[in-house]
Amino acid sequence: MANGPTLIPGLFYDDPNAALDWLAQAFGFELHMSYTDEAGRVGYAEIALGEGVVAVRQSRGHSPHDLSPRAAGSVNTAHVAVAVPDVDAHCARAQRAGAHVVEPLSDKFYGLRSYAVEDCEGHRWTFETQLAGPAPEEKRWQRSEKPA
Amino acid sequence: MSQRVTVSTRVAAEPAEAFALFTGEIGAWWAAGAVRGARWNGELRFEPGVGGRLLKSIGDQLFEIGRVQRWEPPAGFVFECREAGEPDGPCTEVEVRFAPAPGGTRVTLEHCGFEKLPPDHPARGGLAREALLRLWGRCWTERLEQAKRCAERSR
Repeated sequence: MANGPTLIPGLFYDDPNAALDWLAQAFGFELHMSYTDEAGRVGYAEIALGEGVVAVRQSRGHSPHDLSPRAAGSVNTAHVAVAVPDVDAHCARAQRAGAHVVEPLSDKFYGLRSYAVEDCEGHRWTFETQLAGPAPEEKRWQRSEKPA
Repeated sequence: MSQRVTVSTRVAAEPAEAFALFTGEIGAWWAAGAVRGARWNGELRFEPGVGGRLLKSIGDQLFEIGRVQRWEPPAGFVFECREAGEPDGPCTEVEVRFAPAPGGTRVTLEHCGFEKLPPDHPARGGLAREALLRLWGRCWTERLEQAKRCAERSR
């Protein structure tokens, strides 16, 4: 990323300071950049996991359109998917930190092993790892292709 | 508390190597950040140790940017930051920390004290607080990435 990422999705949080701590502990994000006011409140931050970067944005004080799911009846209008090297270890880490897993770990027919989880303010994330062997659907397809 | 910008990256070098590069080769990475789109000119160097000066030279002219306030290799250093040619001007502060991390060193840079800059100060570029901090965040990110490239190239 010599010139930085070309796409940085942003998520709104009511409490960006708490969110940064939580996202580091539960999901393993590392701080890339942040700025903070005199009261110690983070106004904006970019955090990284692998090569991916996501922005943590303050939901209040800018626009009524900027809402955290916490203040919007848990509604999500976006979903973030993150590729990680070992999704089982990632899931265990998130659960240790108290994350709410909304879709348990499983092998998907499209060749990924993944789980879905809510963060501290209700944003939904999927973490996934490419399966080493053929996906379940491919195995079934291979079986049905066998001559009778 | 103070208005601050924090940037952080991981460098594939030991903390002592990273410290030596960040201080000894400051001119090589500082120029990467283009605040206000201004073209960088001049050269930078540190006088090592507490009380040492961060100096900028442009041709024959020499300006003091600030003094070193803390010098603790390889854990980190702190220096003052003023506009070149404004020895009595408002002063912000930059701290750089080096912590061992998997694969090398986590380098974290914190620039604080923006509230000391009056609204019409040239370092603000006429920007409101948030835009200013955002801009400095970008600037330091570019500088840190450049330092990372320098550190990893010199290995």
